[in-house]
Amino acid sequence: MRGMNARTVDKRLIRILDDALTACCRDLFHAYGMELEAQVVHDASPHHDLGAAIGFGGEQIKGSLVLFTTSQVAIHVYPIANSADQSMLLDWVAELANQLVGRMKLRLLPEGIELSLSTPVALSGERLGRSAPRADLSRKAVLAGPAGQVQLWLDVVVTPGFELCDPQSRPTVDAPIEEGALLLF
Amino acid sequence: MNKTVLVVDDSATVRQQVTLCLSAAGYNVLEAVDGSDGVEQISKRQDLAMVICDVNMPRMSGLELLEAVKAAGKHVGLPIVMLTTEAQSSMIDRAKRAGAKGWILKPFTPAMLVAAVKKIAGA
Repeated sequence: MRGMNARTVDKRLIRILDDALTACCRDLFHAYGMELEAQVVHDASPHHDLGAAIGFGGEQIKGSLVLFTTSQVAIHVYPIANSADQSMLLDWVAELANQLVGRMKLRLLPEGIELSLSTPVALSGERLGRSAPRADLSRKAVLAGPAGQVQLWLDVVVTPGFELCDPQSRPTVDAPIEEGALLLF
Repeated sequence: MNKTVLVVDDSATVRQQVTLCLSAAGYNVLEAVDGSDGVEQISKRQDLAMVICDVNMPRMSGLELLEAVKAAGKHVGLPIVMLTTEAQSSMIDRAKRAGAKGWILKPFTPAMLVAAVKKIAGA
């Protein structure tokens, strides 16, 4: 398999990242009671009023994830009914981004990609947008559910020379614990 | 007398969620906003029955809190459970070696959290 650099990003890596982004977002929101489905969006973005960004780094790839959504969605998946004021919603969207990248981190481990996370930051505004990507690879996913839409941007810089594991010979990595489970020592 | 649990997390939402479910189950709950705040609160108290601690936090991580508390020697027997989005074997092994009592992977359900606290800290 060929190595990758800023000009040639392996198509398999793109598919792995796309799948991880969509599946992890869907699973996370399912855990908080909202079913999401991937959506193809051609028109302008809706008026997202909440967002969060979180960076990640590792030897193989580094980058950032940006999540945009609406207050309606954040309230819908807020874990405590009728208790979310604006500051708590901001904190909650940051936590959702944190948990989303945490899930992606687990999912990418078997591919030989290890990530460390930064702490998230949340944003609010009337119509949030993002700057043009400054990365080797920028992937967008839009998922929608009954309370509204979640838009994700994953910007990735690939370390020159990084090669994905051969699918036939990649090591089995069993997650030592599943989401929502307790491991007692 | 109700048992006291300290929750250490930089997310106000997670602290609120943990506090509400454990308060409803009859526990006193104290909150710390990061590892450094957690170490300070632990050092000042002798009545803690358990600590629930995030891993990735600013200023001081949960694993650093765990190692600092156990190294200080004053609270060697205090059960500390990590509540986090992290699930790498290397991190879990580090926590186990440092003396953590358990590891919970977010998101959690109130029922699971209360059951875990009852099992570790007692009712």
